[in-house]
Amino acid sequence: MTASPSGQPQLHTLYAEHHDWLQAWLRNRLGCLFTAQDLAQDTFLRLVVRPRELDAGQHPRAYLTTIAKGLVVDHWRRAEIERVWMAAMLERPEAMQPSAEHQAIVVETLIEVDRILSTLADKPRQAFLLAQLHDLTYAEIGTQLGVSERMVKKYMAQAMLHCLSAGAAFRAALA
Amino acid sequence: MAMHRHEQDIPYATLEQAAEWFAVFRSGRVEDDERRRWQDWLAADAGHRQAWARVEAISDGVAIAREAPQAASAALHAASQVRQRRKLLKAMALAAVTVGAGWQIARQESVQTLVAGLGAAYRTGTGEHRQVVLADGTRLWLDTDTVLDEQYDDSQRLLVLHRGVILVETHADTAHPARPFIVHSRQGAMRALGTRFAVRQYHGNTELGVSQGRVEISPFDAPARVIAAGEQTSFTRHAIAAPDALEPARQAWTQGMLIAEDMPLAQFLAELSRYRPGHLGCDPAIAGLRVVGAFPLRDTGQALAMLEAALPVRVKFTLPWWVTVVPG
Repeated sequence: MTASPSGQPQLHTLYAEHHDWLQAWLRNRLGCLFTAQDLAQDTFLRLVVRPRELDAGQHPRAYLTTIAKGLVVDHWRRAEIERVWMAAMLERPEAMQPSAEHQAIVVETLIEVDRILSTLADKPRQAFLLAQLHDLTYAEIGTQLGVSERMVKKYMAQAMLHCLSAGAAFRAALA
Repeated sequence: MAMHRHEQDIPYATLEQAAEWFAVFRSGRVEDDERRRWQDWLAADAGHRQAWARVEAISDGVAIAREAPQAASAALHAASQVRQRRKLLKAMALAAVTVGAGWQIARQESVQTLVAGLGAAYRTGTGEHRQVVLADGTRLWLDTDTVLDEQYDDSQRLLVLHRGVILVETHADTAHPARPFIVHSRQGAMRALGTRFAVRQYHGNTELGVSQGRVEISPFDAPARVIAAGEQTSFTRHAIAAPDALEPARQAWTQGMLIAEDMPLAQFLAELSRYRPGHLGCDPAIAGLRVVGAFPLRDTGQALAMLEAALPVRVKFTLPWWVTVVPG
């Protein structure tokens, strides 16, 4: 990972001048200091990874908040996924509760699934989830979505192509 | 972006073919000659095998969530709702720029709500319930799906309720002289006169119930009125309804319960649905059935099971997030 040599001092100045302000801004939105600290770091990290965004002729705080807003939404999405999944697991009898490590893997997987499929059209997305998550047949999915089996098959190919070209990388796949 | 690293060597046409084969195999009906064609396709090119390995990895990856498909669906649905709000906000911001001065108050309210959803100081998600102690010792309970801003300054202790329900137990101010304690809803201001009270923001009106002390309501376009302990009322920007006796059951949510005392089923389900992601509907034929009892809000699945046991109804899960109560 390399930042352009000319970008380096600029980033340093940006950090010195705006970090505390950004952290306060985030804290005001999130109501939590620790998350605000994390997301402020992530915002600057984003600038290191994609230094070109520094060249935009905006006020630095305007693009810092643009990046930070995206991270806040991501944070809430992750939090929602984790919260809903964990709540469902807690409803299970103790003996059936998966290990914390396993749960973390599933939550990471769901976050990745959500990220990838969020840019896919609604019906292919639903078809893919009904097949892969709920194990429904094409005929059953067709009934649910009000389309033919042939169409479901097309949706499935479309969804998989979407995952492939978006570079989906699920934790379970690496294990 | 980093995500293209894996795929840069595999041509798009190959990915397309791999996706097509995936759709064929997932159908569960593969003819022998089709299987042979797939084997030929695999054997023909290392890139094909690489693409197929990616297909299997993705397919297996998603399958890990299969052990609890309902929970996984609910989690994904909750995440998409966060995204929807964000999208709507962007569209609204764009509309604001385009429309400029012609911007209407009704829209402004929606934007305010959306902005609040993304930037409020206190917020609960669907099914969540939170207790907060503010700097001055005031205690707050936030019910499900609630958005609240705390705006304390030198002259006042102001809470802005954008959405949802709060119960407030004020504390003597730590500052001297004591600052007034005020809650703003979208219809008006409520000034606490030493007190415990609950505020609920509906679409077009605000509901207030006072358990201790008194609260003065000032709707934005109507004269003020004081509501006493043991009373509840609702108000719009233009008028305050005549107060009724307070129903203590309405504050049972602070204990994680929904208490129904002869409540129509449709209303009961509308209340319960605030604690559950997704749709919770009711067959009109049974909407008027009466519900009596105390139901747990932290486990809406159990609440629905209890409902099934108590009334001649059946809970139908069309999809995990699409639930309808029908005649049993």
